[in-house]
Amino acid sequence: MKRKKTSVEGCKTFPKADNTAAETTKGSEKNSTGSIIDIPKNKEGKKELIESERRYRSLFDNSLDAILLTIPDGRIIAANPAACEMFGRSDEEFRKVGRAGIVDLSDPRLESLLKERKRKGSAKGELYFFRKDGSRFPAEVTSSIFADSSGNQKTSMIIRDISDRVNLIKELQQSEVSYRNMFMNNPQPMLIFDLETLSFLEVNNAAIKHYGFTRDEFLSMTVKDIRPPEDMASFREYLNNTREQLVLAGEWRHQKKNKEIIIVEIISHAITYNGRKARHVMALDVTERRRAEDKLIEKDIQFRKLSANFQDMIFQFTRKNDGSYCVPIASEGIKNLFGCSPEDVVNDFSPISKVIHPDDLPGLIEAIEDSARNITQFTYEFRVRLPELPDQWIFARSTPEKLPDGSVNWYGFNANITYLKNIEESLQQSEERFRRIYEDGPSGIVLVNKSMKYEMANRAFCRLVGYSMEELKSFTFLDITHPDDRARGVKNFSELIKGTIREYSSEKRYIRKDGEEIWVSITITAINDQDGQFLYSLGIVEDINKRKKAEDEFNILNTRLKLLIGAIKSIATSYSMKSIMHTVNTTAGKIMNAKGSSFILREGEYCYFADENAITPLFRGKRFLLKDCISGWVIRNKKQAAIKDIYSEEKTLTELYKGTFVKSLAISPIRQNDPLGAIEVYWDKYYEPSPEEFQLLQTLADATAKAVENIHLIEGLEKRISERTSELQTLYKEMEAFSYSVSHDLKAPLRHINGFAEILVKQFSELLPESGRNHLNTIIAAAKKMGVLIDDLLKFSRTGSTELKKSFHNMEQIVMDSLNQIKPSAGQRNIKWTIEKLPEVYGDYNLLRLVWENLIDNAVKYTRLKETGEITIGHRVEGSRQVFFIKDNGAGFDMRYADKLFGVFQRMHSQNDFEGTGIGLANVRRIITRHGGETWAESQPDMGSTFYFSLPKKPAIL
Amino acid sequence: MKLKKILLVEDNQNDIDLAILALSELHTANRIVVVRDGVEAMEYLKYCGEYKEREPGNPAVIFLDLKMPRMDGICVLKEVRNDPQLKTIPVVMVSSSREEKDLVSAYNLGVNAYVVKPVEFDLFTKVIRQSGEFWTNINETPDNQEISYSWQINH
Repeated sequence: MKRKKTSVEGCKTFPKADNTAAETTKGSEKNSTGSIIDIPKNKEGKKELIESERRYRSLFDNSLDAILLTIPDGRIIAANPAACEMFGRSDEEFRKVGRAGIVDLSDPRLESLLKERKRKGSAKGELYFFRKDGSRFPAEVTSSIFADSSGNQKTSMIIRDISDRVNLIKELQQSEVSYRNMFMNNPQPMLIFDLETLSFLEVNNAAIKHYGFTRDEFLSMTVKDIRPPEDMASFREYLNNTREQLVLAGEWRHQKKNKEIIIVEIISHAITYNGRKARHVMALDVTERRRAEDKLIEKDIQFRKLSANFQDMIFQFTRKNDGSYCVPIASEGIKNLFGCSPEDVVNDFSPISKVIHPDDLPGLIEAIEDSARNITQFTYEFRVRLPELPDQWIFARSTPEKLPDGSVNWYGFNANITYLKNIEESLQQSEERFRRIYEDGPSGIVLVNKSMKYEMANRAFCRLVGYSMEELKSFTFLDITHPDDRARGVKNFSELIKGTIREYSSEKRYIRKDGEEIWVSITITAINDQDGQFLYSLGIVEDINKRKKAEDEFNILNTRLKLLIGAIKSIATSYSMKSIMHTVNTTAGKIMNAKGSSFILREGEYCYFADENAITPLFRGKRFLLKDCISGWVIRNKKQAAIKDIYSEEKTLTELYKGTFVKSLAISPIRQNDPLGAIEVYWDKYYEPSPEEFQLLQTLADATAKAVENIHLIEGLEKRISERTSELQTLYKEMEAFSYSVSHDLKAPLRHINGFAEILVKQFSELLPESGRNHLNTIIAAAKKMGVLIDDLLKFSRTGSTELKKSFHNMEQIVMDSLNQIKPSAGQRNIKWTIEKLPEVYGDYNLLRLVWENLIDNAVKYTRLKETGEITIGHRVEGSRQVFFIKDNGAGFDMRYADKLFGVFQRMHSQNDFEGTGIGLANVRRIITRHGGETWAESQPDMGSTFYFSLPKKPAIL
Repeated sequence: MKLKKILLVEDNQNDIDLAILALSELHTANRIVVVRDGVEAMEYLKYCGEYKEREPGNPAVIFLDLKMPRMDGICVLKEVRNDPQLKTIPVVMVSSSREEKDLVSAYNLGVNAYVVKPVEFDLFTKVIRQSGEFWTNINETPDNQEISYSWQINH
């Protein structure tokens, strides 16, 4: 039963394989039975004996029946594994207790069995045995006597536990009825038929129920009637061949009453039934089982169909216990992977092994053996060479299972991973490329860890900073960073760690191992783990030292240019030689980076060191002959000069500097075509200015030339101006003194004349005749008139001499202010005023007001004879000038005398007609002229006059 | 109480006569002290020379001509204002014409009044009389010489 169970299990999983296995097992069972019977008793040959011994040994070990080797006296010398299991004893225990320890000695059949064996050499019978735990069981025992190789008598016992059978037989024996019941009620269909007539003699209830025929129907039928007609031929043949067989077993097809075909497993025994030769048939319906098996086959087909489209391969791989390989199951994918079909490899591994890359095969086999030995999962990658294809990479994974017979099955799959390998390869290539960039690239690449230490640095970086990788590993990046750049580096780095920034770029300085400073541009990127935690910072470092140096030079040049431009601007607006010399000297020193500089002026045959800018001036204020100094040479030759080493010059030109700290000199002439001097710079070290520097110096010298020329020009002009000014001032002062004395010295006598004349009139009028009093009154009137004249004349002179205080004024307001001043004196006069809108003007308020007062006063005065005076004040724009006018309907004048109108003391009318000193219009003209305007008048006698004056529309200079 | 003097500083005899005539109407003729220039004025004020023995006391007012020989009115004004004993004396500047610069310097030195002598005699007497009346009869000056002016004299 145990064996069967195992095979059924196997069958379920591997139907195909099982069939073979099942057959083999059945075969071996038959064989083993046979071999017991055919144990050779004669010694036909040594070889045969050894072979027999081997077979015997195999039987002994593998038999499911218990086998004991004994000596006729009852000692046990060996027990097979089945015996150990059946009795629950070890081989050793068997030997200890002997036959007497396992056989029920009280069983009377023992004695007769032993006697029979002794007589016949072998015996078969039933006996009771004891297990180790003391329980008793019946067993069928077959015992034989044989001689071993040395001729000693031995016995063997083959014991089969028959507890079940014994019980059954016991019951049968107990009563015929119970036997019948046993037959009739057995759940398995049982049939008895006559071997001669083939008609049924008896059937049990299970058969009736199973086949659908009634008992009576069965008893009228033959065994042929329950078989499908197409099987009849083979059945007859079978019957003929097995007539004498005691027990028959086989699989047949039976037909039920309803014509349904069932598959039955038949075991039949030859019996005698009621005196007739008959066969007792037990039919086990295995239709369902066969169907299940068919289903399994179907499943297998389905598996094949399913896996047919599967590019890769699913397999069962077997290592047989002889160490050979085969692939009992393989999906269709095997064609893709190994170029063979599943059938090819069922029993043969070579179709696969021959396409495996020779380099990979030994390793693969080693791995298989390893997996088989340790029952560990098998994983391997290997190459396969198929014709006309590049090597394909195959990945295999399977799980082993050890079978009882020592063989090993793996279930798993193979997959083509060539594309993965290709990717992997390209990855490796790309990694290689990166590695090359990293290792051999021109840029420095570094990895810095959280604690700012160098994790890695490539060759370029090591070259850059002059440290080896090993040295760098003991540094933080701050250690080789320029002190001024450290704070910034720490700040950026901490932000990188915090994650507030992902990367940053900056320019910084390292201090090389040799102590030199080097400028680099760095780009730092944070490398974080999957959780975003900072791992490293990756830095790409570029050497920008050259660029920085160029930038520095550029900056220096730029600074110098700025200085130069500033100096040129400054000297262009300088009005004194002193300030020019100061500016030029300080600038020359700075743009040439010199220790000092001198401003040299040519004075005939001499160089005059007019100014020197240095901490300790050498020659300030001194004069040297042109022929005795290098500056003189420059002035005479109109060329720049650079002396790198004053001592190397053999000429006497540099004699001057020998013994001083000066080592190098550079000189540019001021005004190249006709030098008026030179700018000299000197150094206390050996220095040769670059062409650019020399150009700067010459530019400064050229600008200086222009500035100096300007100064001379301006100085000339200023001299002339101041001469003229002082002349004018003298004149002005005389004028002032004149008018002052007029006001004081001329007026005082007038006052006295007037004063005393009045005293005479007041105090002594009685003493004077009438005519005398009239004369006195005339004296008084004349004196008064003279007083007014003097005042007017003074006013006039002041309008010419006082300074103009110009600003913006509303002309209309000035006119209104003037009107208010004059109107009261106009008295009761009937005057029609028309005042137009007037613009804003730029001028002196008081003087413009005086203009209007005079003009309005005139107009009022000359319209006096008209019943209604008409006075219009207006304005118009003529080009760039504003023209103002005042028109009246008064007496007018003859245009022939118009040019005399504005002269001092000029009058158009007799004093008797119109009072006045004749100064007013002269004043108007003088004031307007001083404002840059003109005055004129138009008139006809008795038709009125129009007086015009103009002012510039916009002030010329503001 | 003894009436204070009126100091008339004038070089021109005609003007002196006209001024005395004008002031006489105030019945103050005996109070008028006439000096002919700045030097003499300072001698009077500081009891020097001719005026060593004069009656003590500052004048009630000084009529000061601008244009005079030796020492002109502006100089006198400056000295008076710089002398702690004299600086409180009212000074009326009298000039023939209204010169802007004279006016400015006189006021900068702290003159009390500046009058222009009109050509017309009526106007002249009116001007002299009224200012004389104001500064001698109406205006009060402290006897105590300790007083200090709150303003500063320029120059």
